[in-house]
Order: sequence, then C-alpha cells, then structure tokens
Amino acid sequence: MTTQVKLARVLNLLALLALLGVLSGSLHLQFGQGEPPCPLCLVQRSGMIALAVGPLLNLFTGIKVRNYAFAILAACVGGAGSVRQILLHIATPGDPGYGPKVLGFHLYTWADITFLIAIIGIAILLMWPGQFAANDRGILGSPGVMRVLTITVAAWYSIYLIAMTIFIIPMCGIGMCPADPPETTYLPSNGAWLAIGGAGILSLLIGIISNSRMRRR
Amino acid sequence: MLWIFLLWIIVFVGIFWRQRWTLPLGLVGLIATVVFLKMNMDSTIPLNF
Repeated sequence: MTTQVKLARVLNLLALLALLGVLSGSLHLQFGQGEPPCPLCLVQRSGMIALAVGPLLNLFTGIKVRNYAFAILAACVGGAGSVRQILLHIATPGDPGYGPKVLGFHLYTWADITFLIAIIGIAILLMWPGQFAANDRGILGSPGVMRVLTITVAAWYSIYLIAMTIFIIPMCGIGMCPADPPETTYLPSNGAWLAIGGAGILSLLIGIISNSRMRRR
Repeated sequence: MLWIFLLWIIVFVGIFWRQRWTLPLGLVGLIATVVFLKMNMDSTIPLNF
C-alpha cells in the first residue's frame, strides 16, 4: 500500500469526523434543546448520512472514483434541501427563520455550507490520481489505529442513524412529517452532550473489540 | 420519511459487510430523498418547512 493511499484514508476519515461534528450538533439541538427536525431538515439529514456513505465505502472497500462520485451526488441532494429552506425563509419578509442560530447562521445554512465544502473538497481530491493507482481493498485488511478509528466512526454513524430513525416514529409515524413539529425536550442540555459522548465511547469500544477479533482471525 | 432512514440502515449494513449492492441501494436512497423533497415542495402547507 502506497503512502498516497494512506494519506487519502486519513483525509476520508477527517471528512467523516467533520460531518460527525455537524450531526452531533443537530442531534444536541433535537434532544437537548427540544428543537425537532422539520421535514426539510430530515431531507438534509438524509443527505448528510448519504454523504458519509462515500468516504465510508472508500475506507471499507478501497479508494474508488465511484465512491467519491456518490458523495458528490449526496451533497447535491442534501444541498438542494438546504437551499430550498434558505430560499423559503428569504422569500418571506420579516421571517425569523426556523430554529435557533449557531454562530450567526441557522442550521440549514450551515448544512448548505457543509454540502458546498464537500463538493469542492471531493472535486479537489478527484484531481489526485495517485490514491487510485494501488489496488486498494480497504482498511479492514490493515490492522492498526486507522482500522480502530474507521470502525469507531462507522459505529458512531450507525448509532446516530438508529437514534434518528427511532425518533422519527413519534414525530411523523410512518407517513409525512408535520410542517412545524412541536418542541419536545428529551434530555437536559448537558445530558444530551453526555449521551453524544457516551455514543462515542461505545463506538470506540466497538472499534477496539472488532480490531482485536479481526487480528485473532 | 421513516422508510428512507430504514433504507440508510440497510446501506450501512452493506458497508459493514462490504456488499456489492451497497452503492446501487444508496442511489435508491438518494432518489427517494429527492422524491420526498419534491413532495414537500408540492405540499399545500404554508411555508412548507
């Protein structure tokens, strides 16, 4: 395996961690501050989960152009949802926007910035052919810290995805979601951060245990 | 919306098991998200969030 493949893996992992940070913020708002996701917010969340699929496939199955292409498509879909929401609130004079602001921007604006950065970042990564030269079969065959971190991040995403899916049921049932869902606080603010940290620790344990089991085989 | 997220759970299972169908199923998930977005845009809810 070449140094370029190793570097590409690190970049994919860093991108996943950045995206995990954005999702953690939105889950904290949902569970700790009682700001449930609106239907368009769910479209953006779906886009973020899809955006993570590309780098995860790169790490699990090897760096491939099609995985990056999928991530660009995911960013376009998620970005369409966030642009739609931004325009809706711009089009209505005096509209304060939906939900609280974080560092001066609403979450849908941050989501749009995230999707734009992803598209630009992946386009730049695609100009680097060295990462595709080797016949990379993914990180699972390479024991070490990177494998632990990759499994940890993938497990963390899975926990978030399961939590999001479960909490869609009380909000939307199996049909369409309400336009402006009622505020429901599940945890105190610190409790939500603790739950997010707990999910991280649980994921790290999963990463360490999986890595040691694979080593034994 | 629930079933789109259920679809993503299946996609994640595919990533862990390194299945060939993961990427095509992911594309189905993306198309489903676009369809949901279009339904939301067409709904009569005022300021459809």
